[in-house]
Amino acid sequence: MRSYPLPFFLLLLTACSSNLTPFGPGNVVELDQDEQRLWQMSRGEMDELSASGLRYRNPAMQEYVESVLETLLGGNEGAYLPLEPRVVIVDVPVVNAACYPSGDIYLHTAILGRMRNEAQLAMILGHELTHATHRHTHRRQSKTYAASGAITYAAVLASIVSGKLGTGIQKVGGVIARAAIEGYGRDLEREADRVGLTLAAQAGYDPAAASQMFDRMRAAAEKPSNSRSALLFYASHPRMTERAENCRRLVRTLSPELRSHAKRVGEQRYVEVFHDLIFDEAEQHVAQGRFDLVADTAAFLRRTRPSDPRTGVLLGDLKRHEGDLVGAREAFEQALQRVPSNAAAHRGLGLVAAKQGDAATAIRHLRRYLALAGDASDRGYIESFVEQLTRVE
Amino acid sequence: MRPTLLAITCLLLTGCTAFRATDSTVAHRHTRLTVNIPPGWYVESLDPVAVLSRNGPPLQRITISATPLGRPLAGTQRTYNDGMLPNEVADLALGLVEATPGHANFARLRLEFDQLAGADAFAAEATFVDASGLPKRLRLHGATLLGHIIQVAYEAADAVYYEMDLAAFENLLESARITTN
Repeated sequence: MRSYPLPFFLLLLTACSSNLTPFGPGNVVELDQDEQRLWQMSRGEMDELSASGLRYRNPAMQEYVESVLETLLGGNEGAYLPLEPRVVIVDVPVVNAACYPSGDIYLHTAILGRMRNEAQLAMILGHELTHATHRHTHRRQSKTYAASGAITYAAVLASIVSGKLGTGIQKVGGVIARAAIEGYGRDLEREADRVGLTLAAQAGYDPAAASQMFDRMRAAAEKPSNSRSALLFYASHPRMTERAENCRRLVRTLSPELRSHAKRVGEQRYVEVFHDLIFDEAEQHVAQGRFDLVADTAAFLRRTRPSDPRTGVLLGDLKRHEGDLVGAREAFEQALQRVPSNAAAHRGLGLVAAKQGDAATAIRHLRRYLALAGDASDRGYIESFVEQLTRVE
Repeated sequence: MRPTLLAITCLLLTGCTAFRATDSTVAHRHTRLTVNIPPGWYVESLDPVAVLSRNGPPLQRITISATPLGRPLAGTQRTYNDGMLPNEVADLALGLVEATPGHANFARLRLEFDQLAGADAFAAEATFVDASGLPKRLRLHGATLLGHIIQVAYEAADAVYYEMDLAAFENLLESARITTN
């Protein structure tokens, strides 16, 4: 048998897989051998991820994200076979989303807390779905093989399969491997943006509102202080600024007909479903000192959740950290007017009153906090603090 | 002279690390906060923070730091300021531990009032998983002293080492004092 040089085979491999027919209406697609192997490995990893305990089980959220995915697919899931798109929420406090080659989309709780409306959710689902419909993992794996040889290709697959990384965050990063951590490379990410945005618009979502998703991601990712996000989120994607700009350009290229039809934003419904995650993110930003982001979220919640006592507590915390004790006190008092049994508001008001030298008010509210908060981790501290204030008083 | 060169020259000429050690004590040069080194432990480093260990820092370590009030901190827009209550110092300090790259599953277990070298302080306990996947337990004590936030932290592998060396840490805490020379 004649021996051919290795680059010849690599060229063949690349040529075979760079123009793959996407899954979707009107297309009949058969998986080649490499892709079948890729799907098989992915299914193993999905099983491992399902067993890892990272799945976030909230029926209302699950039902909601599934309904948005169905809207995107136009009620025509069968047209995507053998792809079976579905969406899974995982409890990971780092902004990210990823998609397996066979159509399982993973949304981190952190990215759901970062978004603000259903149009943005549709955009990210459309983007991730495109990675599966347009077979990006397969295309990228083949490119990697062609460019770097079997060792790198094997290493990529081994890292996907092994999943032997320790922590929850690393586990998600490990199983989705390079695709989730690095993205699919600039060209494929742009394709996902374009197709995802078009899908969202065709489903009736306002593309301008949808494209703002990348602005929101950029706001959280661009600061060096946000080091945890930097571990995972789209590390080698085109820079968020560029992607946000690219999406704005894409919006302008959509037909006027489509743009006039696509007006749905879905802010109120989104906030009703995901307000807990939005508050979680804001609390995380308070801990990180990201007061610019906290202020942005607080303003958003004042508009969309004005009667939620947590909005008042968030505002109070923000003002307390900014040194505005009078403003903080007002915010906590307003939160208590709405819900007199809000433990966090009593705690906040008590600590602010103590700083203002108003020991009597501080003692009263901190005692109320102790009565309401049960086994709070700072119980010991607050008890001692109340004792100290009582002695001073 | 370049700052790096200046720092190296300073180090060579005066040995001006943030902390200095004797056979039995470690002291912060500026505040003169001094602690006794637990028997069997060694000094891993003295700058910018003092790190002590018995079997190696990945398994157990005591870290002593002194951060000037108002100094910008890595990883947050917040700073330690004069007039902060101990719980506010604790919130910031624990938030920084939680935000350390690679740390996961961070949980605050308790926060108490305490004394450190005679000053009002906080004592906190938390657990997390470090970047290598090892479950860790943390005790963190902090106080405002002489224009600095002093923190004394004990971090050890939760499974075995934490309990084994906890008494050594508590003895070190007891020994904390401000010396006059």
